[in-house]
Amino acid sequence: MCWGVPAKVLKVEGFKAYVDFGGGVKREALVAVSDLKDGDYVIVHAGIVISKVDREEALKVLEAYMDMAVQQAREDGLNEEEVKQYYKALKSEVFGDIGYE
Amino acid sequence: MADFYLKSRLTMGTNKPPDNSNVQKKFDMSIENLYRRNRRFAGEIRTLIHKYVERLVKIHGKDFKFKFMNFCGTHEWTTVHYGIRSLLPENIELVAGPGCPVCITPSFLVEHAIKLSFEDVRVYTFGDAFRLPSVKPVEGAKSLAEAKASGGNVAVVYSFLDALKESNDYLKDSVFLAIGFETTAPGYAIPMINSLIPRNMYLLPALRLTPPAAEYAIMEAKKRSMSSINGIIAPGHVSAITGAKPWDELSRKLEIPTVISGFEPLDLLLSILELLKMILKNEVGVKVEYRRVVSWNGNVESLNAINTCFEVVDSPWRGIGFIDKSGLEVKDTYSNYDAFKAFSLDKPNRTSWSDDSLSGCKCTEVILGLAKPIECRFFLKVCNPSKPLGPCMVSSEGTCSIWARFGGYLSLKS
Repeated sequence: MCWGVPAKVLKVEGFKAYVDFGGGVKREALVAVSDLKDGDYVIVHAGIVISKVDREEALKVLEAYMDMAVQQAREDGLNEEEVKQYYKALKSEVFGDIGYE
Repeated sequence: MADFYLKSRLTMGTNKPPDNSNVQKKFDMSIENLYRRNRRFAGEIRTLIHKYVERLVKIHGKDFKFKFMNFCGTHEWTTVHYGIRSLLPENIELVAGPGCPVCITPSFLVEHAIKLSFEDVRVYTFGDAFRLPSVKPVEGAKSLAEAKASGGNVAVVYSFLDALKESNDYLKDSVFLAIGFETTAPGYAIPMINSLIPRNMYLLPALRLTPPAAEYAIMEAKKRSMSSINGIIAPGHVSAITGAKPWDELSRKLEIPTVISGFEPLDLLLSILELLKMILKNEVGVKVEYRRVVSWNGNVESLNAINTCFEVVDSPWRGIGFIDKSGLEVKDTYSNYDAFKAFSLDKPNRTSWSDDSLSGCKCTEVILGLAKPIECRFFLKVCNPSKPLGPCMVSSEGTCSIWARFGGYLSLKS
């Protein structure tokens, strides 16, 4: 029951929101966050919309840890040119599908 | 060897030209996959974890063990299902703490629910609690599933919203077995303060709070002089409601570094890395890895709703007993929704509380992270997911059930 699932909000109607878990099936959920809008990406937990998912933060966290990996590469003895190349490769590996710059 | 390692780093990446059209749409679809299927990056993080452990071992000695405890069934699920333990160095041990609301629901609440279902009151419940066994049988039934089979009025719903809709049409008295942690509580609180609950519907609250139980489990390990916990992996969805603040207080009080983690495999690896980094720097306090969902103050509207209609009380946990300030009960102003008052059901207090664990069953120790499921003599012998004996085998979030379904326990034995 304690299963938080990401979903997309299709329509908000007062305390009720219609969400799509990715299977194309419309399901109802109770809204527990303020200013929810159509098209928002949310976490639904036991039929309750408990939080919005922040796209920017999702990427920032990955970037922060990418920096850590790059720092480690530097400590392992890569020179600056190689570090740059490694960073570029890592970024395209992690974000390649999304086309995030 | 070193050259090979460096080369492998330089040749990674496919260098596909980014497709900027439809970025937003693609983004929505792949946001979880970034954390779920990002194999190459997970490999990099794994390397980093091993490097950090090497550094820590130089300081603390070769045999030093780092014990990290998680407090959410879904974390344990991710750990076992994706084989996270097999990726970690031997010095890191991941332990599952109390993180399943079904496993810790006291037996007396199940007994009340079964009794009501035979008295022509419809009992709504989540699928997980449907098979949750009681210790004492009520009219021959030892769970709501058995009660339904012998004619009890029980209905399984996916969410509280579904139950509200159904009971609107049902017209006769109905009760909702309201189990859950902080995450589920706003689901009951918001309909309550907005008068969305029909007059014939009552709540049988079994709501519990996570941070007090986390503290209890860690202190209990200390009391039994077992190796202490070096890091807390805090539950992400509980923190979405409560915010990071309570975990920060707990972390400073117990002086244990804490990271609030998401539920994808990469989330867990990043959290473990962050914990190691904190141990290396001798930091305490909370770090949030699950920043895409968790904020410092949490979900303020939901917290307000919870504070309006629930009050924090000392509550009993199955097999454990009373834990200070660890449960939510309906406030007097909203007592017309309280099934305890409406059907005059009795509640145990500290003196009348009797242990409600099955003799021989190690569920209590498993819940508190003091024992592994394989140390229980019932595990996969008389107790299995299709025929559960103890509460940990019932819910899909219970540690025993996860270990039984996804395995990996045989390699962990050695």
